[in-house]
Amino acid sequence: MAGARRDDSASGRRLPASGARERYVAAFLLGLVLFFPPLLVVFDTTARPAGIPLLFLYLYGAWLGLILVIAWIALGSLHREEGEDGPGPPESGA
Amino acid sequence: MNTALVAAVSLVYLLAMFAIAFWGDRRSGREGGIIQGPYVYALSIAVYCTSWTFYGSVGLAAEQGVHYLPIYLGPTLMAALWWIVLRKMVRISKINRITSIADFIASRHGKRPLLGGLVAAIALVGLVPYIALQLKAVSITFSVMVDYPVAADALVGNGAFYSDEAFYAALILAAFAILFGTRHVDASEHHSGMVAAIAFESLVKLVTFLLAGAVITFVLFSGPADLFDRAADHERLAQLFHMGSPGDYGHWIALTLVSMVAILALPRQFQVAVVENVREGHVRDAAWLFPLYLFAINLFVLPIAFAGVLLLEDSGVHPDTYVLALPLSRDWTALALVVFLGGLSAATAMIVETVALATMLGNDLVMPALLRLRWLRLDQRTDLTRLVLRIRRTAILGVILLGYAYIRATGDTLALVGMGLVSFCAVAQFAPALLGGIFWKGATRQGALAGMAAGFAVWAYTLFLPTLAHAGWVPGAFVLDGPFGLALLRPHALFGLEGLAPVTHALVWSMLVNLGAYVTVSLLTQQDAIERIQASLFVDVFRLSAGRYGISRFWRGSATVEDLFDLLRRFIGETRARRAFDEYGRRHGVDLSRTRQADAELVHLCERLLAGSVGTASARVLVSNVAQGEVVSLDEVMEILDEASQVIAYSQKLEAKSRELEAATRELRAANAQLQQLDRMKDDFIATVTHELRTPLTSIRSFTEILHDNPELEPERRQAFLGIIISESERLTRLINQVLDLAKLESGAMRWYPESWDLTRILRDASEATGQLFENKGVRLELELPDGPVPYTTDRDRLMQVIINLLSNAVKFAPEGTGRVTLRLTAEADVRVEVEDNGPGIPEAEIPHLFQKFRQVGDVLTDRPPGTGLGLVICRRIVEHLGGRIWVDPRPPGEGARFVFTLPREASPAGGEAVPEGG
Repeated sequence: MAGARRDDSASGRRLPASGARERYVAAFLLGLVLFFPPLLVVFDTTARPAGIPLLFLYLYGAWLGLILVIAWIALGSLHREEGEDGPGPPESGA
Repeated sequence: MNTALVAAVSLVYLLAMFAIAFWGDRRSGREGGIIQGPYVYALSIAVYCTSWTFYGSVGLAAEQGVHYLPIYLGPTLMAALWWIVLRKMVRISKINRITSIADFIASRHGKRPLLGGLVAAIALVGLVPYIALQLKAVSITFSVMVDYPVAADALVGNGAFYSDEAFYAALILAAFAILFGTRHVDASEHHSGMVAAIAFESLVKLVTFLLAGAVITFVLFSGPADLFDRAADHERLAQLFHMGSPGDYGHWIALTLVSMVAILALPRQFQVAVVENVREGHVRDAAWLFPLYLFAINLFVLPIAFAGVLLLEDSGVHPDTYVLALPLSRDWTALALVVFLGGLSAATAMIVETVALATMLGNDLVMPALLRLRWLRLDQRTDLTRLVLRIRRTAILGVILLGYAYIRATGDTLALVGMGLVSFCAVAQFAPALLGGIFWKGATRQGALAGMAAGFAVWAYTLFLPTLAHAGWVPGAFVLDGPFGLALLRPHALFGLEGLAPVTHALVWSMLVNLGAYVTVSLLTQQDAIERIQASLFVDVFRLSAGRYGISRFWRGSATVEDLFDLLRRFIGETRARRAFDEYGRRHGVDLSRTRQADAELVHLCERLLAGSVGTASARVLVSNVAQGEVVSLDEVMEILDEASQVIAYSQKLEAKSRELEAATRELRAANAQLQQLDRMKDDFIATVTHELRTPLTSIRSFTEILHDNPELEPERRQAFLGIIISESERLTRLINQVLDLAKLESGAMRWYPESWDLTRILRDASEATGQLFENKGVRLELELPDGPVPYTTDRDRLMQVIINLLSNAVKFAPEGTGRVTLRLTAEADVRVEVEDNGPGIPEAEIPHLFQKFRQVGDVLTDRPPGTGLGLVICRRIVEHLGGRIWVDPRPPGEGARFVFTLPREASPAGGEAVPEGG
């Protein structure tokens, strides 16, 4: 009895499922690097581009950047197909 | 501003929220719609932002600059991993029907109530400051709204409680919490209405804060550049452009880490992110939507804080209230009201917290305790929902009042953020058990218990108690100098670890102790069978649930035919399983290969079949696992059955032993029976022999007496009587001789004298010895002997005895006159002697008994032929002793009898030795 399998090879541009997981971990590690001391100290200067202290700009800018990275992984990867589940209608097949 | 106005607006707003919740509950049954969408989900997670975010961040920023930020960076970092971590938690919770974090941890470790109770207790104590924080914020901002600028330094907890706004705020919020969360008991603990309301309030607080921030930045100042320019000229503010001292980095890191965990471990977060989750896919969307929300709501924190410092520094307004005080300072009452409502929204996050907490307390602490009290006889009540609801409502009220009490106790000694961090640190104690439980199969219940208890103890000692000490409820020296003056045990500098902020310090020690105990104890203890199953179900949930039929199989909650067949096949073999299913199909007229769903009867049949192999209890577990859509890998089950199989092997050994015992007993009984029979036979034998001896003796005596008493008897008569006496004496002698022979043969005392003879001669001698008998009866004796002599070493007398006996028998039964007896000897392979007669033959029934003592054919008293009945027994003994066999050849009735005995061609065994007697 074969269960219904979703066609995972829909679009060639998609990343493999396991790739998404790894990218998430990479994003996490990126976040750690961005917001923990080493890099943090670098940007803690007295510069004030556009009148706004560099540290503030850096913190918020890096934050937004990280969010966009996560969004990119979430929206652009194959794992959009898996996990599409929940109390939906039963699968067809056999 | 008018108290009544503020109060009325607040009440209207709360009612609006309640209306939304009501609408949300009505709509919860329907598929689709906003409530089921990812945006509502992400917004509901934003319940993370409470009065702490709305007011406290600004207050903290005004004092310490960017150090309000880690609390939001942490969740962002964790959100990157949500697809891995949170999704796993969601999947596990759906499958195991988990309704709270206490439930989750308890379920992972074998569904033990003690663990769940501990989590609920820790949550209760740990969240009291958090709830207090919300109440304080509401009451402070309420007084600010009403009394600005007089009461703006935010004293709380003065005067009697019935005149304290915080108290009334507590009561109102308790009422709304009860209304939101305890209208009914739902097995899944879904509160879609509450989720809708929360999403709404998240939106409100975001919009209002952005509005306030925008107005303050662009109206009070000319934009951020202008604001920061002005700040740069302010001595203290200019310093806040930087991180601060290097020691603060530790604090920064600690806060980031603790908030990473809090976003999962806070009861309200668990409730909205895991329990209320409707689709797993939403987790992926929330992973970036939620951090985006955090980003947006934090955008204007620094500007507002700096603006507040710049404009209100000297007015005595508490920085926690800058968001409100700034519009009020310009008499922008509309904006102030809007901001106040935003803050109120943020505070209503507490409603979710208390509902989640009350659910946990009810389910995992109170109910198990009540069920233990047998005199309540709770298990006999059919409907416990009213009791459950009552417990929950009481818990909500109790928790909120505890929060109020905490405010009264600690007063102004803590800023809002400080209180929040105390709670964060408490719920961080769940992190090892929570995260370890879903990634590490080896984590045991004792480990979780040890870790959480130890961590909680350290937290209470290093963070909770000192807050009470600060407020004067515990002697201050306790904090400054340590208990009993032991400096090493100072709550804020344990074992000399100085220089850390209290929260960081507490975090370091509690996590060290927690993780250490968790890992160490887990490695040292064993899991029982249930915990092992649960561990596998949790850690391997993705592997187990992504079965051959896709993930949605999980949600169906019933058994498929394929599942059952698979299960059956593994336990009772392919053939039997197939046969059972075929038969079932025939009987019910269904084609099971086409059916997907198994009906109850099939399930029941499978259970019965399995019970035959693994016992009813295990069968039920296996089938119910399949039937509920939960998948236990059969390998796991086999591993668990390992435990049981040792017991089974032992009991099998016992069974084998007892079977041996039974067999031995049976043998003994048989032997006993045999002995008894032999005993009886011996008695019979003695009885018969004495009878046989007595009969001739009686005759002899009678006739001798007659002769003695009658001397004048005629000579013919006398001769006749004497003849009888002689023959009877002979008979007696014969019998006695035979008995003696038999006795000697059986006891092995018989002496044998083997010598070399010619067999043909022996046979001829025997026939001559019995010749008279043949003549008397007129029976012809024929000899069929080989031509030449047959040399043979044997005991001549005994052999003669056998042949004579056989010949006498033959003569006895051969018909008179026409009788013919043949004596035949062949000596090819063996020596074979046959004695054949043409008498009536031997009935088949008698053949087995022929060679038994005192058996004679026609063994009825009236029909007794002359003879002792011992002859054949003796023949048999002799022949067997000589190494041969004797038997009767079966002949059709009426065609006479043929007795045959054989002797081995080599010499007979040496004489004199005892041959073991057969039966």
